[in-house]
Amino acid sequence: MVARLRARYSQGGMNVAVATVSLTKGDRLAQDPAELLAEPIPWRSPDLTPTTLATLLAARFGERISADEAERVLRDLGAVVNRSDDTLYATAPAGARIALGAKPRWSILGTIEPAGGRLVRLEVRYLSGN
Amino acid sequence: MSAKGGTTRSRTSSTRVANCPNLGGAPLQLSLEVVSLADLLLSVRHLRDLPARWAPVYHASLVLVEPGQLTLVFGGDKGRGVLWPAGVLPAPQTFEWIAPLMTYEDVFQAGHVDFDFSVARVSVVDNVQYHATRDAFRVVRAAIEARNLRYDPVWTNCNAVVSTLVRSLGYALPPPPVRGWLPAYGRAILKEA
Repeated sequence: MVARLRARYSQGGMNVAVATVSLTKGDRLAQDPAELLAEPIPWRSPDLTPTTLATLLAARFGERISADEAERVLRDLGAVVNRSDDTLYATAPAGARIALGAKPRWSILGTIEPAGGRLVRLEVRYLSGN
Repeated sequence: MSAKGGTTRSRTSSTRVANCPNLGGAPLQLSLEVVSLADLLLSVRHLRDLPARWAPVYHASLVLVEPGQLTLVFGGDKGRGVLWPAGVLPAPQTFEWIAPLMTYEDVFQAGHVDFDFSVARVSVVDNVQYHATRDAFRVVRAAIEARNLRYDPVWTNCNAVVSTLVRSLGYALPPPPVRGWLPAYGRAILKEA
């Protein structure tokens, strides 16, 4: 899955610092639900970038996922999830090629639509935890 | 947790209107609105990488505390990549393996590096509005990240992000609560901050 996504994006796009993805209609990859759900997210893989992680999450979430469902999916994937009325916070351990003691992590910020309670936007950041 | 010992506080604000005969004489209704107020704290911890964690060099972050809401932490961090002494050597912008400067907004709780290793906290300002402060920080964080800065351990680092965030609110930075070195503490990344 990751290899396929890497082939889809250029190197420049793969290495952006913050990946932001819209979850509204028409802005996502076609998904194969069975294949996606069978694959865990390789949080600690040093090859996982913000862009690929955001794409993987967007493909799992679909375009009209509720914040409740997104919270459950992220928990099932092993992330630590918190929610406020308009924001979803998730963190998960990340991997590094070289680590001198700091524990890198993924910081995932989701924007919840106030009216419908749906997740409409994701921001994914890699933080070294230095 | 709170600089005031975690007490629950709220302030009742009322719209200061009364009967206004000049507007037709009809009495205007007083509306009472309870606004809960948050504390903004500065938290410091040692760096986590070896051997820097043994030195008196500190990482600062901002903690927004309001009873009944998630306690949030804001700060800056190194993204994926290697360090580059950009203050000493000009960074080759085409090399993608140099770490960018990142900012974050997370929940301040057990398991978070800023929570687990916090050694001191000091109040920056009391009685700020929780959501307004959070949203203001989001705007400033986006402006910082839009500049695509490289992480520099001396100039553009976590302490510079914290300094920029505090100044964007119009407040002064408190003196560091620990003895040691907080590189770039007091240095604003954005000129308008």
